[in-house]
Amino acid sequence: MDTSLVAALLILDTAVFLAVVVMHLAKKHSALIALYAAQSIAVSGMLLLIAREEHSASTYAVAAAIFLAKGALVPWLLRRLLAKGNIPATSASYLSTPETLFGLLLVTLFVQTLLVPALADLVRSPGLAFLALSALFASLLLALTRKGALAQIVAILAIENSLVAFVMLLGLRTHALLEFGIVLDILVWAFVASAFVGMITRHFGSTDVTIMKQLSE
Amino acid sequence: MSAATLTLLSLPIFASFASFGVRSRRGFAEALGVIVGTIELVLALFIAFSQLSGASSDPRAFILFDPLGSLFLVIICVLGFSGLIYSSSYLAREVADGAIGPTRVRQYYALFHAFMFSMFLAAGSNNMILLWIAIEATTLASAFLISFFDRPASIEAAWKYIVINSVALLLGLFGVFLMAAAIDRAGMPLSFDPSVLGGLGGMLPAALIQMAFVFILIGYATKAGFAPMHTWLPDAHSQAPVPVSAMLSGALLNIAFLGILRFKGVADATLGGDFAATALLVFGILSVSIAAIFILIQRQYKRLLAYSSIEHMGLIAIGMGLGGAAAVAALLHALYHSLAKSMLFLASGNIAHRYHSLEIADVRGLLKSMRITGPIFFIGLLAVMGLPPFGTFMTKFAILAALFEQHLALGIAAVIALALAVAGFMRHASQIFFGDADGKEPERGDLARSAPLILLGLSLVILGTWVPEPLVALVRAAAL
Repeated sequence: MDTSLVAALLILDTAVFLAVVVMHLAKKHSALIALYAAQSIAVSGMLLLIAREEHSASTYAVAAAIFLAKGALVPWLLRRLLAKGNIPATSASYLSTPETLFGLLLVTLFVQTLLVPALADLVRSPGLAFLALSALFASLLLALTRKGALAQIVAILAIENSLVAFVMLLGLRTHALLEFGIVLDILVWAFVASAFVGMITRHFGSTDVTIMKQLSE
Repeated sequence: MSAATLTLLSLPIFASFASFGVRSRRGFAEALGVIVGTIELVLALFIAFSQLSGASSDPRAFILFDPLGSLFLVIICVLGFSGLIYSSSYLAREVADGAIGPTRVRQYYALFHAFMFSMFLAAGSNNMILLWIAIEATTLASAFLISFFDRPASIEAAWKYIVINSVALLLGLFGVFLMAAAIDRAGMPLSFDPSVLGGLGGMLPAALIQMAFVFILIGYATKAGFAPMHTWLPDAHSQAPVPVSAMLSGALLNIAFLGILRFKGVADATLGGDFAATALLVFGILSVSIAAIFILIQRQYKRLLAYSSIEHMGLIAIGMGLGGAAAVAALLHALYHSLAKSMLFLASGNIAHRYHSLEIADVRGLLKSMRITGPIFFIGLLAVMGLPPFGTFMTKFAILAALFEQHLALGIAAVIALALAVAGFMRHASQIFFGDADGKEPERGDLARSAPLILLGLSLVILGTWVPEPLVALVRAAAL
């Protein structure tokens, strides 16, 4: 990869990672959705740069699909849910802000010391891989620590975004149909999960998953 | 792709849209379900046994039903067929009881067929990424089936199912991409065909493949219900409509396990057999042990069946981890378990309708009060306990014998856990079957309600004593 491409990817990859860090600090659902949209646009931008480098029409198409599905459609769906679903504006976390920051520190240390060295031969740029993998595991931490169903959805979608950002660095050549298949899976997943947020709110009067105790043993 | 495969994959899609789209009385969706289920079963048998004639196929094809995929395909179709027959009577009662509205029946069938399609696709996937897409699709297709009754408990179960499995499968996808990138870099296709896997020896970096396999295992083992990632399973299996519980337990767990076996093939080709085998043994022993404790203390019979599924998946993992004759026994065990568990879940639907309760303590004198369902439930429980003369006895014995031979300490641990599970079942069975009956009129025969149970029960008993040669050949080929 030439240096200008690496520099451009680095900016976008940093945006992907920073979006997750800010998601950890943001409590408002609307902010989480906006950050997810921004992260998705950054991911589709990364894919666009790769498509330009590889002169690949199918990669351009996948980048466009990601932009439409995850940068526009899913955020619209989540905003609509927030507006119509009688959902509280904020979502709580199991962790305090200092605990969250400490958790993020541990995640980045884990990625830097264990994962990146193990993957050094496989990825195009270890620095980019560090950012994408840190975003992935920071999103996992977000999914595990948020109490709200909507925030959990955003966290899971952010895991997937980070994974896409990482996969671009592998140089893996797959059939475009499979890439569209994954995008479609995620899109359908977002619709299904959103429908469940509506049902949870209707039955439990809140999106806080900690109040769901019907099945405790 | 052969015409039979294409038809098999197209049928459930067509049936799903037709069930949802045709705004007639629910009889159309019910009749279509039975017809499509029958055709799917015939096609699955045809595809499976045409494998044995040695028909050539493209190892790089995206869809390829090899013996292992074909075996699981047949299991899905047998369970789907019986589930679709049972569904008509089951849903009619739910509508009559006011649990669901008549329009929901069409939604049920549309989702059921979509669920079948996703499992067919997973069974036939011969590409690492397509397999992930198909297994993720099973989650999406079945989530609304788990929450079908739209009650707080079913919504909670479905939410737990979606979140836990989706996070796990994304971690699994991370592993899939790592493995795929390494294979792609070696210039090989992302296929599971033995002719491709055979060429991988020494070509891939071992440490990377180990790491990838660990992530893949976390993803698919969660979906297969292995402890300690099993927490979604008892909730989902107990809250879903019973034909769906039967499919989740008898078919979907196998499909997720198929995912593990596919990647075990890649790991074995690169690392030798020990790494993946050890991981399967650890998950297997852990699952059997944890499930046994919950079986012993369980208070609800549908949850009891769900924990039994975890126990049996553990046993199957142990068998596949040991390899050789134990792997053949494990695949036969998967078949027997699917038949028995599906039968038990369907029978539990009849019990729930009779007693209006899922509590074990509320069910008494079942052999007297339900003269068809009672004995069938009894037979099913004996089978899942692994007692003679059922096939599960022989397969369990073969797996444990191999475990004792290779790992004595693990063998002792497994026997203790399995004995605990049998003790738990005995305790619950003595309450359920041998108390005083409820004094109401004994159960009357209902063809749609009884026929699938009898069909599954007969299959279980016959296959326990006599396994047809083509099936033996298929299982042997699948275990290779």
